[in-house]
Amino acid sequence: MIEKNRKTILGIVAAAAFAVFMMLNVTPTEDGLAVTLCGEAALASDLPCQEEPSVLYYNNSDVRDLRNCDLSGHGCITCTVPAP
Amino acid sequence: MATVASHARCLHPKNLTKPMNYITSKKGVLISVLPLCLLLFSCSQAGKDNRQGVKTIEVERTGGVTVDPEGDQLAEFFEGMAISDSLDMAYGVDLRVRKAFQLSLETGEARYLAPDGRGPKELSNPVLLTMKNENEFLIYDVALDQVAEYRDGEIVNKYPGFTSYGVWIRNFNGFYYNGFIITGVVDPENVRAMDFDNAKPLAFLDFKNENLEKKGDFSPTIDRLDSDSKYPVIYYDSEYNTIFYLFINDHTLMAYDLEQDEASALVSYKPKPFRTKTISVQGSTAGNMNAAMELGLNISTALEIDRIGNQLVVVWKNNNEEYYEDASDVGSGNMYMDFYGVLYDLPDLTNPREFTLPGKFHGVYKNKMLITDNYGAEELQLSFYEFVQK
Repeated sequence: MIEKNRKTILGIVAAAAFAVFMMLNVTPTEDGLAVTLCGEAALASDLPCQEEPSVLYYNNSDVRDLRNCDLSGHGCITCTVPAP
Repeated sequence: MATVASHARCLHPKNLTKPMNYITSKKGVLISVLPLCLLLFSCSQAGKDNRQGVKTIEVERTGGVTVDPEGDQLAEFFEGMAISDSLDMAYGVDLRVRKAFQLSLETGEARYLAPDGRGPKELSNPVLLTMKNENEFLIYDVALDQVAEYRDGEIVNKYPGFTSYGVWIRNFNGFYYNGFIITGVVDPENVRAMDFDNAKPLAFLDFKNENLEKKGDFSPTIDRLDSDSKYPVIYYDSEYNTIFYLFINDHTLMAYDLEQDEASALVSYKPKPFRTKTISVQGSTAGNMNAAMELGLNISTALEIDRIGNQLVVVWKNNNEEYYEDASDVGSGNMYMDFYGVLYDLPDLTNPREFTLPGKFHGVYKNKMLITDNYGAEELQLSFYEFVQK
C-alpha cells in the first residue's frame, strides 16, 4: 500500500515538474540564455511589460518580422535595452 | 417602375390581411416571386466588382544594379531607403546584417557607414536612416536609443533617441526637416486607451534641443477594432511642404501641412486588392503561426509613399498563404507577397491608377522605382522599374 502511494506521489511530482518545464521559454541572447515564462510572450505586443525593457514590439501578422522582440530586448528595433 | 409598383402592392395591408387569397391567386404568385427575384439578383451582384471606372497602369523593367560581392556584404533591402539622384547613391539600413550602408546605384558597390559597437563612432543596431543632405545623415540606433549625427563619413555626435520621449518607433521611414527628424510612431498612452481622436501618429524629434512633439491626426477610416499597428508610414514632400502619411492597415491617405500646422484626410481611394481588416487582435500572436496567418490574410500592409515626377505613388503588400506555410527563411517572405499600389496626380491626388509590382518597393531613383524582384537568386539586386504611360 505504502509502495503504491509512493509511486503515485512520484508520478504526480514528475508530471508537475514536466508541466513547469514546458512553461519555460529558453531564448539565446547576446549574454547567454534567457529563461522566461511562456505566458510572458503575450506581453510582446503593444502592451506594457512587467519589467525593463518597457517597450516591446511584435508584428502579430508576421512571425518572421526582423523587428520582432522577445523579452530579452535584444535584436529588435523597437525595444529599449535593459538597464545595465 | 413596374417592379416598384408590384412591390408596393405586395406590401399593401390588404394583401397582408388576406395571405391565403394573395398567395393562391396568379397575380399574387407573380407579386410574391418578383421581390424574391429582385432580392436574389441584388445578392448575386453584391460579391462582384462593379468598379468599371478603375484605371490601371503597367510597369516595365528598365535596368538595375547588382550588389558587388567584393564590397561590404548586404543581405536584404528594406523599406525607408534614402536616395540621392545627384550622387547615384542609395542609403539605408539592412536589418539582417544590422548595418547602415550606402550603395552605389551605378556600380553596385556597398559600404557600411559605421563599425559595430557602442562607442562614439559606432552603431549597435541601426534601424532608421534620415538624409539631411548628401553629406549628413541622422541614424537612429535602437539598441542605444540614440540618434547618431553622421557627417562627411563619420559619426560626429550622438543625441537621446525616440524611446526616451515616450513614443514607440515602429517603421523605417524618417525625414529631416528644419532640425527635426520626422517619423511615424505609436503614441502609446492614447493608442492603448483606443483614444484615436487624441492620439498623434507623427513624431517631430528636435534631437539637438532634446525635445519631441507629437502631431497629426488619425485617419477617419482606421479600424477601431483594437490598438494593434496604429502607426503610419510617411513621406516628406519638400515642394508642398507636407508630410503625406498612411496608417499601416488603412487606405486613406493623410497629409500634415507643415506651414499650416494641421492634418487632413486627402483621399480614401481603396484599391481592388486592399483587404479591409475585420479581425480584432487581442494580446499577441507570438509563437502562434495559425493566429498570425489568420490576421495576416485579413489585412493589407502599407509599405511606402513616394514621389515620381508630379505623381504620388502609394504601395501596399498582401501576404499569401504560402508565406505562412513555408517554414524556411524566405527573406521577409517577399516571394509570397503581392505588392500593389495606386498612382495619383499631384497636387490634388486625382486620376488614381492601380498597379501591381513584381517585388518589394524600396524608393525612387531618377523617377524609377527600386524593386527587389529576384528572390532566391544568389546575388542581391535592385531593379529599376518605370510606369508605362499610355
